[in-house]
Amino acid sequence: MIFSAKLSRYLLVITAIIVVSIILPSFYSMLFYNSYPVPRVYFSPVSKDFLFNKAGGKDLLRYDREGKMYTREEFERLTPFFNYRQLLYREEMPDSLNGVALDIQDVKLNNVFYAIKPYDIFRYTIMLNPLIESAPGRPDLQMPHEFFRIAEKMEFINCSTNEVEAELSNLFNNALIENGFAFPAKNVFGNPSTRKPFDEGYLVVDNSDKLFHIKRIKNKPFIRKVEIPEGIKIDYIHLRESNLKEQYALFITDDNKIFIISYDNYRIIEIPSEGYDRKEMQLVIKGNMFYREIGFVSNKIVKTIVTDRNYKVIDTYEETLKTNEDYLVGDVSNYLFPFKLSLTSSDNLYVDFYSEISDLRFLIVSSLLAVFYLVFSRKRDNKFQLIDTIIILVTGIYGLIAVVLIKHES
Amino acid sequence: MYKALAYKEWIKIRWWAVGSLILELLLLIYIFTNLRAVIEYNSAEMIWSSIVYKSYMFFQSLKYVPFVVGIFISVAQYLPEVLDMKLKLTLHLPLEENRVLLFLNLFGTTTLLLLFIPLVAVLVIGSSIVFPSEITYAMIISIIPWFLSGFLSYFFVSAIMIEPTWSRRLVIAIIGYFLINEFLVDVILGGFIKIIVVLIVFTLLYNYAHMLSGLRFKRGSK
Repeated sequence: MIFSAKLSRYLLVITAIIVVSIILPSFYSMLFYNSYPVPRVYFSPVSKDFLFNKAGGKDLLRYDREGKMYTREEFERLTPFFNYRQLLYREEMPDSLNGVALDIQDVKLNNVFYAIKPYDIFRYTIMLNPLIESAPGRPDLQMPHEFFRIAEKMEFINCSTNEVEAELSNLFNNALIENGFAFPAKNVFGNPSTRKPFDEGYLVVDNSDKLFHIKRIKNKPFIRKVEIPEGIKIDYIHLRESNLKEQYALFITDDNKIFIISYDNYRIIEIPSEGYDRKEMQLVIKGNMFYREIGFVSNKIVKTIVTDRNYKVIDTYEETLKTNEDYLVGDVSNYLFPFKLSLTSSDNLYVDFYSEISDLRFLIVSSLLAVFYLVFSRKRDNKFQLIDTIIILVTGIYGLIAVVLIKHES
Repeated sequence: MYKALAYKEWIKIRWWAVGSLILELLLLIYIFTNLRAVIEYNSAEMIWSSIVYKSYMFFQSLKYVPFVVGIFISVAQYLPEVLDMKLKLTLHLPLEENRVLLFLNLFGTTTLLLLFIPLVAVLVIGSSIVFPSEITYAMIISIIPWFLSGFLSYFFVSAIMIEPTWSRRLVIAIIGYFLINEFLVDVILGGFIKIIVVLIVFTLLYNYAHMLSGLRFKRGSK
């Protein structure tokens, strides 16, 4: 009985430590942590320099690299592509910029903006997708009645009957085999929406990390193997149809490199990616008639690389941001908490054991707590007191709470 | 002796077990009639899209049922024992006490397993009729932690029941609450896939959670 009870006690102690290491740090941060606004970076085609805005008090702060503040109107005039609608409304939209005539349709067409967040990449996906007819012979795209999978073979499953559509499946499956596709697909990326100007189907990574473009044109397969640089492993593909028809998609590799698949015969273009980490940074791509801006944003760092339309670097801005870690609350947290545990993460949609481990500063508080425990615990049962003391040394305040709440039964 | 003990346990929990089964049956009827209606008034493609892209969980109403059933069985099994200190008699049987305590919990765990298996089976079969295996698989990954929360609620409520002091009962209840909370966290379909095995092993360990309280009960801790 004693042995089982001991086992039971340690089980409860460990559980208490886990639970407290989840609850206590999150309560601490809710109580003491401040939010530090992340600046948004713009590149002005007028001043040819960076501009920023960030939350500050009631209003948005707008400023440049030298710290000069701008009014909202001034800021909008300096970013005419981004704010063209407002400038048109105020009738302040310039007719030309740097000697180039600005046609509003052109401005609109050339404006690009999208962001890829870490949790877009790190999440469980159900690999079923609808293959939209790319040439429907109608003004609008229509959602098909079947979803496809590419497992041992490519199969279309009718949504109403949940049965495989043999004819359609064979047609596409044979086409994939002819093109040397290695089953099963590792990943399938597309834009499964009918609210888009046209359809570009899916980009599929096969089992040997080769890339294939799959479309459905007049109910017939269109398969194209896309030649990608040797040895790269694609982790994520962002495919969004745009009338600009400059790029099919952008993809990110498992070593944080970024590539674009252009409409120029599927030419692969590597774009600047130095400093990017897909696990914790948002990738923000902005573009207009003159420039491309490639931004990497986390709560610790913002970096923006401005290039011309051929991705030749023009200018770079990088700023390290202050976080709670840089202030007293962060220091105290490092002394107090040996580690912080969480099962969920804002950057990752998998449930997992996410832990932040403190530097060794926690040992100071842990040792004090251990001494405190040794002095004040009344029962003298050396062996178990020793184990409890070690628990406190390693897990600090969590361990103390656990062993005090669930005392040892001698 | 164990056979007699099992029979005694069965007498205590049988109506609660039947009640739990009826609850599960009503739940299944609700889930599948609701699913039929949702498909009927929208379209199958739309529901598939919602599941794949927006993590629509047609089985969402299941979430807290295992948790509640776990509490039912635990209360049915241990409340009569502790109300009149009958557990003292059980612990005085010519059997080793921790074996008896473990046996009582294993009996409850088995009952829960028998109550949960048909529920999962009907869900899986029903889902497989309407959806491809990819969706059914994601569903299974998503519901496992909910069923584990049923076992955990059973283990923790058992420990709380056997525990003789109120202060310790409160401690166990708080720890159990926050632990079970993590199993019931809202995530996308299939989100638990990476730690599902760890969670299952972890849950099994809690068969021992009530042992400490058992010792304290026997000693009459105050």
